[in-house]
Amino acid sequence: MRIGLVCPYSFDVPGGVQLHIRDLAEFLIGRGHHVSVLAPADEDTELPEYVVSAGRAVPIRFNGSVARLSFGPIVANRVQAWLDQGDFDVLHLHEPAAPSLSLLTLWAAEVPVVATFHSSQAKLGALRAAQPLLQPGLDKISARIAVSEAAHRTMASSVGGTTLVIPNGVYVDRFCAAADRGPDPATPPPRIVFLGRFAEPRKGLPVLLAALPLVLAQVPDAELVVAGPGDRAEVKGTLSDQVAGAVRFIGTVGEEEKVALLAGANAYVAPNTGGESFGIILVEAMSAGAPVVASSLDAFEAVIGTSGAGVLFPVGDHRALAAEIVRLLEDPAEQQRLRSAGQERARQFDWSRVGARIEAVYDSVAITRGGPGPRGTGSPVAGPEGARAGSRPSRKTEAAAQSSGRGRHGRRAGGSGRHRTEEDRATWAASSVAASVVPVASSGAERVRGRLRRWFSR
Amino acid sequence: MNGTWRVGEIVVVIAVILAVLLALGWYLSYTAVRLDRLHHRVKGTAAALDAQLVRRAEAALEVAYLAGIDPASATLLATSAGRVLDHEEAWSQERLDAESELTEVLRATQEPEAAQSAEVEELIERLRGTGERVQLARRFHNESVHEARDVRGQRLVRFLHLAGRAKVPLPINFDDDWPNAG
Repeated sequence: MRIGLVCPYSFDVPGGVQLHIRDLAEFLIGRGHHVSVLAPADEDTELPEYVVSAGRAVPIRFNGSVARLSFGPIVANRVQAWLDQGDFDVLHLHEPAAPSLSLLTLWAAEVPVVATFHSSQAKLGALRAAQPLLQPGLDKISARIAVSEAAHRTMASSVGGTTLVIPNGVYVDRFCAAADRGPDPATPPPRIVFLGRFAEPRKGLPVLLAALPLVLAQVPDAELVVAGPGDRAEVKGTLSDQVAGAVRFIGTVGEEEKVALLAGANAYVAPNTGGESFGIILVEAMSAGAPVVASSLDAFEAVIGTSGAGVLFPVGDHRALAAEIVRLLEDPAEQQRLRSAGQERARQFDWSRVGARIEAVYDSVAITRGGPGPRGTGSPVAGPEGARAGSRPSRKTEAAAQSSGRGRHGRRAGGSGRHRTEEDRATWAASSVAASVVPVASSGAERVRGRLRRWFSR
Repeated sequence: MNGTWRVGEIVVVIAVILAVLLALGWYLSYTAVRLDRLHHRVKGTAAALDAQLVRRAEAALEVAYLAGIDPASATLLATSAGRVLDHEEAWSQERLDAESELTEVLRATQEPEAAQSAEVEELIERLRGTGERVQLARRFHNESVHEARDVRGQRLVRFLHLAGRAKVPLPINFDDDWPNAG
């Protein structure tokens, strides 16, 4: 099967959605599909060969943090070129309600669309105001996936419709390999680990830093390792000497370093205060065998489950956090229990499970009639070898598509479909003027339509 | 003086009427385009369901011939899968009945107990996969039908025949409860 994935966020910067798409693409390629990913990226960024750049991304405030998105007429042209060249059976868009690449693709899409909603936002006023602009695209989505119940609720309240909840995936084995080493018991100090863009308040580092003096009072030799991009001087300036001595910033870490760091942790702390819709990092930490202490956000509770595979504390409560960390650091047996319970739980989120479910969704919206050869010709008792070759999704049988009389090619050749897309794109250009996102030269009629749309979206 | 007031009022009234008409026109064209799009999607989801049903029947045939299940079950399975494959594309009641029957037979068929070769395991696994995909595809289809009918049901849409000659999309209902979701 030919699959087009669209990532709205820049591939230059690591982030949950980007990593999810990268892993998904690699899983699908491993299953024998043809996969192309469209994502914003700077010209000089080195990209995996299956990624096509849609141009540079611009930092924009969205969903409570700064997202790097790309949009505008030039990008819209690139999207069209990518779609034409890719000749996809299925498009899988991520975060289609974000004003970006996914939305542009949605406007231009002519093949079945699957969409994954990642974020859970508390404030949806803005989204609702843009509803008439979003609706035409949303109407094209055949299958909706939410990564968590929280994301599902966000979606149901803003765009409606039923949804499948399929969690994000993790290659659990990659993390497990390192986990066998575990922390070296002979080497104190007890190590607390924090991972993420620590300058963002919603990641919750301030909560952890407030808890740290209380922890140090009980466990004086504990150290906190903070990994991730951000301005460390700014954070350090606010710390007392005692705390500053116990905190070590190690900057951005690579995949392997991250695994080693997690495997060696006595406690992995996720003190996030909101804005998380799925705790992929919790799954990674559990796979690597780190005992997890997380704030009781819905998304985190869903990952940890009722199995006691991690410790939860009330969101933003630094006293409770300190108490949990101290309890954990002083109890090696509890650490060991959490390690194995976490790894057990993480299996639920392995790509082999998650990816197969996503693949099933693609199959159930794609129109190509595959199977062992065109219908009616192949003998049903073709050997398993032939059957397998026939069912290989990448081998799309043109004859089957034509015999069914509504193959993609037939539809695409039809004049009306083409015309509609042109119109869609024109209105998109006009509407981006209306939203004063980018200046676009457009005809008078388009401008009027744009104004009307803006007027109605109030 | 009185006269200029009148002219001003008339201009305002005309402007308001024009604005209302423009707004109405925009809304109607917006809704018509939206309906067209929804109908388009309904066609797509129906075709996808059709494709999955064919795959399920083909996989069932293969299992009947190759998986070494008992001959009575195999005959039943092959017969009902064959019946499904006899129906071309149209969503006739006979076809839906045939699909329900295949589901019933699949539910009743016992998996071979003895350990099987890897190839047979794969065949059975594939059949199970097609069953899940049929459930998903039918769900997605009925959802798109529901959305299209919602818009068609609006009073203005009905009154002005905005849906044109597009047929009223119908949900597709048959028994697809195999394997158990989950």
